[in-house]
Amino acid sequence: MKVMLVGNPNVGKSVLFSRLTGVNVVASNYPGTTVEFARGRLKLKDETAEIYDVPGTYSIEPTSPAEEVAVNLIKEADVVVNVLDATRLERNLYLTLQIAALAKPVVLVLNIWDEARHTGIHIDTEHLSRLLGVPVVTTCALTGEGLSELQRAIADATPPSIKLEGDLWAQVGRIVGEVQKIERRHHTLLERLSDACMHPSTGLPLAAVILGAAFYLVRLIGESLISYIMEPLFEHIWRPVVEQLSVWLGGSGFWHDLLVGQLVPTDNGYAIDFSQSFGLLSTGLYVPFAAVLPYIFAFYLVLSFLEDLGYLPRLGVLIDSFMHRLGMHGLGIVPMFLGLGCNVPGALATRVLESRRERFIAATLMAIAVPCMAQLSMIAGLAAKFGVALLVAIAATLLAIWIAGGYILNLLIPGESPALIVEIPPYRLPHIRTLLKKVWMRIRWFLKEAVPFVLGGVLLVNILYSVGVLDWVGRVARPVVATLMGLPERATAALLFGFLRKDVAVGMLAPLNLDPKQTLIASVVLSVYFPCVATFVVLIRELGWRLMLAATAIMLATAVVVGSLLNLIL
Amino acid sequence: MRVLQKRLDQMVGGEWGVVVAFDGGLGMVRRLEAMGLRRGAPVRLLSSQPLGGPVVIEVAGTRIAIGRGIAKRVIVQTCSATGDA
Repeated sequence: MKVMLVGNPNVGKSVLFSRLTGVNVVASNYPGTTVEFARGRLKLKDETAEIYDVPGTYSIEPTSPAEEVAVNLIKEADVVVNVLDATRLERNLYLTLQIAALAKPVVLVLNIWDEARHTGIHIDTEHLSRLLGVPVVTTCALTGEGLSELQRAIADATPPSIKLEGDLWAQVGRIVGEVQKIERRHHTLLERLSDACMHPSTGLPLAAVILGAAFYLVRLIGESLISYIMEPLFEHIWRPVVEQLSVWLGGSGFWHDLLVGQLVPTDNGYAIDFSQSFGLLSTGLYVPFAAVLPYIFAFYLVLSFLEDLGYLPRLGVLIDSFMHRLGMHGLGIVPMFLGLGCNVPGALATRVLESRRERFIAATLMAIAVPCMAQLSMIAGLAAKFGVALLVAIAATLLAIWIAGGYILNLLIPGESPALIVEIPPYRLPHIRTLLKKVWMRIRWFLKEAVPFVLGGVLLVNILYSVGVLDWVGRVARPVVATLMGLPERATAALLFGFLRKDVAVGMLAPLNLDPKQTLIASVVLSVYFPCVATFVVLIRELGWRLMLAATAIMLATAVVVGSLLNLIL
Repeated sequence: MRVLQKRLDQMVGGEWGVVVAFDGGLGMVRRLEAMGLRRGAPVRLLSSQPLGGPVVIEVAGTRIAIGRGIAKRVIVQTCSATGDA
C-alpha cells in the first residue's frame, strides 16, 4: 500500500514524515524545501505501508519541476494523507477539494495545531470531518502530538463524500465559514520583525546586519572549534601516535610517505606537518576532521537557524529585482546559500526555479562562483597567514564573478526570468531539537560522502606523485597555469584534483608556499574552473548532458580569463 | 468615500481591496488562484519593494510576494477616501 503525504508547501510534511518513519529528511521553514520525494516504511494495524514525503504543491496542475514530481506521485497513491497548515485553513482546503475529485481514500491532517490554538484560531474538526466525509486528525509534528491517532486514521481512510460544486473557492469559503472561528488579536513581536525585514526602508539594512552576523558567527564558531578543540586533539593526542608510526616505518620510503607523509623542515629538524605532510593518517585525517568539519558544523548551524526561522524567502523578496538582472528571480538565492554548504544540495535546490533557463543560469553561477564550505574552510586556513584582508579579497572576487557572470548569461541567453510568486512563511522560533537533528543529518552526510573521497584523494595524490604523473601534467599545462596565471607548475596538480575534492585540492597548495597574490589566484581559479565530481554528476542529471557541456565550457573559459586577468592586474 | 478600481501594484501600504479581474493568461491566473488570489478575494497590500521589486500582499490568511509584472495584471477594487478618480 502506498501512502502519500500531500499538501501545500511548508505545512510540515517532512517533519511529519521523519516522525512517522524514523527516516530523516531535511525540513525547513520555507516553501520548496523538499524538491524530491523520500520514501519510508510505516507500520499500520495489520500491514506495513510504504509512505512517501511528496514535495508541496498548491494545486494538481503543476507549475515547477518539484510540483510535477508531486502531481505524478499523487496519481499513484492508494491513500492520500492530506497535510494542512491549521493556521491557513482557507488556502490549504483548495488543494483538498482538488484531491477530493480524484476519489482516492483521504485522511485530513491539521498540522501546526498548537500554533493555531495559540493564535486564536478555532476549527471544529468533527464538523469538518462530516462535511468532507473523511477522518480529520490534528497534529503538532514538531513535538509528535497526534501521530498515533494519525496512524490509526490511515487505516480508516475513505474517499471523500463531499459533492464538488462548480467554483472550488466559493465552496472552500462556505466550509471555512462553517468550521472556523478566529479571535482578533494583536501583532506579535515576530510578526513585527517580519514586516520590518521586508519593509523598503528597513529591509536592506536588516539583511546586511543578519548576513554580516551570520558570516561572523560561522567564522567565530569554526575558528574556535579548530583552535580550542580540534588542533589540541591532533597536536597532543594524535601527533605522538603518528610520530611513533613514523619512527617504526623508518622516517621515509613509500609506506611511510603514504601513511605518515613527508616530513617537513621546521626550526628544530624535520617533523610531521598535519596540513603539509600529505599522508593518509596525517593530512588525510586532519583535513576532513580538523580543518573542514568545524566550519561545516558552524555553517549548517547558522544556515539551519535562518532556514527554520523563515528568513530565506524574505531575503529572496528583498533582492528580487537585483536577481532578475542576473537572470533569475529572488528565490535563486536559496540554491546559492545551500551551495555554500555543499554544491550538491545547492544543485538540487535549483528546482525551486520554474524555467529551464533560470535553472541553467542558477546552476552554472553556483558551480562557478559559490565555493562549498569544505573548500572555503581550507582557503580560510591557507589565507590565514596573510590576514583577513586576503580572505575578504577572495570572497569579493568570487562575488564579482557571480554578479558579472549572471549579468552576461542573462544578456546572452534568450528569454526572460519568470516573475516571483512565493508564499512568505510566518517567522517561527526554531525548535532546538529539530534544528540540531537537521545539523547532525547534514554533518553525517558530509562524514559518509566526503571523508572517504578525501582519504581516497590523498591516496591517489601520493600514488600519482610517486609515479611522476602529476609532474608531467604540470609541465603540459605550464603555458596556461604558469605563464598566464603566474602559478607554480605544481599547482596544476591541485587544480586537477579539484575535480575529486576541492578541500584536498586546496590542501595540495599548502606546501607550495604561495605568495598572497598566488593564493588569491589559485583559490579563485580552483572555485571557478569546475565543480567537484559529486556536483558534476548531479548537474548532469538536473540539466542534461548538452546544457552541462555548455556550463562546463563557460566554467573553463571563466577560469582562464579570470586567472589571467588577476595575474595581469595585481 | 468612493469605490476605485486600480492595479494591485498601485495600492498603498496597508490598503485593503477586492480582486475584480485578471489581465493575464490562464496559466498565471490558475497559479495565483491556487495560492488564494482569486476573483472576489479580499487582499491587503503590506509592502512594495523599490525599483520595480515585488509586492507583498496578504490574501486568504497568508502572505505572498508576487513580482511587479504580475501585480500589474491584477485589478482590485478599493474603498478609498483619498484617490483621484
